[in-house]
Amino acid sequence: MYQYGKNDRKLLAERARQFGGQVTRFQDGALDAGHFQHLRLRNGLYQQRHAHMLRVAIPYGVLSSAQLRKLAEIARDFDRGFGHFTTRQNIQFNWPELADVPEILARLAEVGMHAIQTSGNCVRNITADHLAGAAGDEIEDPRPWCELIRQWSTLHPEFNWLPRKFKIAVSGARADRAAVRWHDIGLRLHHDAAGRTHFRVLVGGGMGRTPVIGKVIRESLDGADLPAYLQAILRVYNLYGRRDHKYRSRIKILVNDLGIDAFREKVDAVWRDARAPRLGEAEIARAKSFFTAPFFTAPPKKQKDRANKKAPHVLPAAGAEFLRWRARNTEAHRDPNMRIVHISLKAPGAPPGDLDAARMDALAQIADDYAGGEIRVSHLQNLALPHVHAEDLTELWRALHRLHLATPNIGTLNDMICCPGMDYCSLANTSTIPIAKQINARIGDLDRLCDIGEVQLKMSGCMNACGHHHAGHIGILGVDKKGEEWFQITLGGSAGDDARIGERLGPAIARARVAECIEKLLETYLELRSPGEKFLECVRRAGVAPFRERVYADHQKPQTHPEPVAA
Amino acid sequence: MRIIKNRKLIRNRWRLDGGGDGRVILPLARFRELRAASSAARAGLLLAPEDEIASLADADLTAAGLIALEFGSFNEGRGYSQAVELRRRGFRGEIRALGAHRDNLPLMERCGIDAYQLADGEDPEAALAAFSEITAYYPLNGNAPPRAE
Ligand code: SF4
Repeated sequence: MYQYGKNDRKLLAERARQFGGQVTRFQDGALDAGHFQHLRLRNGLYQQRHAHMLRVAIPYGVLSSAQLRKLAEIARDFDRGFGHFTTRQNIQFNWPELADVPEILARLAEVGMHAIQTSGNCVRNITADHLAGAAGDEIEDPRPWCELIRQWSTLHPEFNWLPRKFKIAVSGARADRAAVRWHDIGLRLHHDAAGRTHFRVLVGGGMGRTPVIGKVIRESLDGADLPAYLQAILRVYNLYGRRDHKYRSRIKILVNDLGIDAFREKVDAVWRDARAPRLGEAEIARAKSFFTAPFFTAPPKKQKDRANKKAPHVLPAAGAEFLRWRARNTEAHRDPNMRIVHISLKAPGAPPGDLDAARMDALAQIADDYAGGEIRVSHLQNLALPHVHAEDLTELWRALHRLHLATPNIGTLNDMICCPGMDYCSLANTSTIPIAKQINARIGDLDRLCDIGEVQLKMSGCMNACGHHHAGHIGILGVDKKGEEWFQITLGGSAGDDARIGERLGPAIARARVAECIEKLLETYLELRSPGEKFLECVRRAGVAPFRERVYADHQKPQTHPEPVAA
Repeated sequence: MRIIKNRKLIRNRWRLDGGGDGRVILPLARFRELRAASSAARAGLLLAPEDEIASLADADLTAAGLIALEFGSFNEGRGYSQAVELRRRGFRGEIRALGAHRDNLPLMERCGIDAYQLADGEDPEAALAAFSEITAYYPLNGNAPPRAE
């Protein structure tokens, strides 16, 4: 992975010191609260419902064991012993004291981590396929390009005060696992006829109140032109994006207002005109040098143990539980002797994406023992060990199982995305975590979940859509009606190449009936499905109508809200 | 009143139209009128955030004694791109940020802004310290900050 050099470290140290000074000025009354708000946001610090929240970037989802240990230390010393992994490859700490934040930033800097630009109206953390460098369907590892974009966007002098936040996602594989079409800019890597790295550039996707799927602005952009072209898009947005209304300020609105063709013309004019330098071959090669394949050099742990003459473990053969985990939570690696191992942070009853400090430490050790010290964070709020020797799998499973980190529910209904909702977020209309628990309690049987197969359930506690409900095969949106919590269900949304906005099922559902409603959707699917047909495929084929009928047929009046609720 | 220019405090010799001493800074339409009336008059050019740099003639740039960019609020971001475009067009004179805040100075400077009339309430002496707070940068996103003297 990328190794911080002198310049990176200097930048983090200066930035942490600068923010420390800003905190002091604010506390002394020398810095106005409104101005301080902008500055703290650009350092990842929010004011939440009960306390501050610090959002730390995990660029393109790549985490080392040393970094994970540092996150554990911070969770222990400054939070209540937890961290929360988000949908944008960040981790959030929900209870830091303002006065401690400069110290936290300084400690993060020790392991090359930071919270720069994780909030505020600027270019946010660059996200990517969490299986980069490991997946079998990869065209080229996108991480060197992500790192170049990370550097390009970090303290970019021109784009620190955009009309609104700006999110960039990159995918280098045949399947899109980074939801690139839902981002302000999405980049899909391919090779041109000469074998050079090119990108298909999408622009203007986004969730929120106005869900929009990104549009193609350029079919094939030479990778060497990436910084210059991104600069052109951002400049057009910075100059022409609306600044008069918070909910009309994202680039998706500008692209829709101008039309993609007129927007493209403006971008091309800036791009041609700016004569911006291209990336040199040496620069690209340097970025790539950080992402060679270290996993091929480390032997399986079993072999190491034998060589060290450790007594072989005499353990009972792994049974059905292991096999189910292997089938659900691991997948093929590009090297047939290795596997990719997913770690579900969606154990029933636990808030999705949460991990406690003790298990962060234990997991860091597991990563060192079995996975070359590398961990990945996915936008589905799970973790993964990207490179594991196949012959180590049983022992790894035992180690994870002891930590209760082997819940075999990856890709199932219970592997849901869920924003923090009322429990933490001051903007929330409704709670979300209790709803997740309600669903898990009702539909928790693993055999049944595995039979139902892949279903992406995504839940947001308000229209801001941090839980990506628009892109859920099943989406749940919390709405407040006269102080009561109601839930709007959508069906058929998706995040990948077939990206689509979910269609509203009908009137909002009462809080107590959400799990029951989800169960009806699943029953309908099980009745309708043709052999091998997945939930989403079934919804796309049969349409929303049969699901709607089933859910609302036997609902009495009081169970659904009488008024239509704006989606 | 003092302003910051090239990281030093100097006396302000320019005034916005409407009062004070010194040479005048005018919005584009008035700036052009004055130039048409008297080629000897040398005014500064005032640009609002929505003014397009592409709409300026090369002659406007040559004639401008300085170009002042309005930063009406702390989070106004258009001036940064305007400054970059002005430098790209070859403007080598003073680009002055009006209403600048201390914490924004290092990024403004990297966009090519070299003079700062600070917002009300900002202490010019204290603001000078801001330049040395952030000296590291990634070359991929633009010019190095000028070297501290
Ligand atoms: S979707 Fe709404 S409730 Fe959920 S985290 Fe975002 S702003 Fe908060």
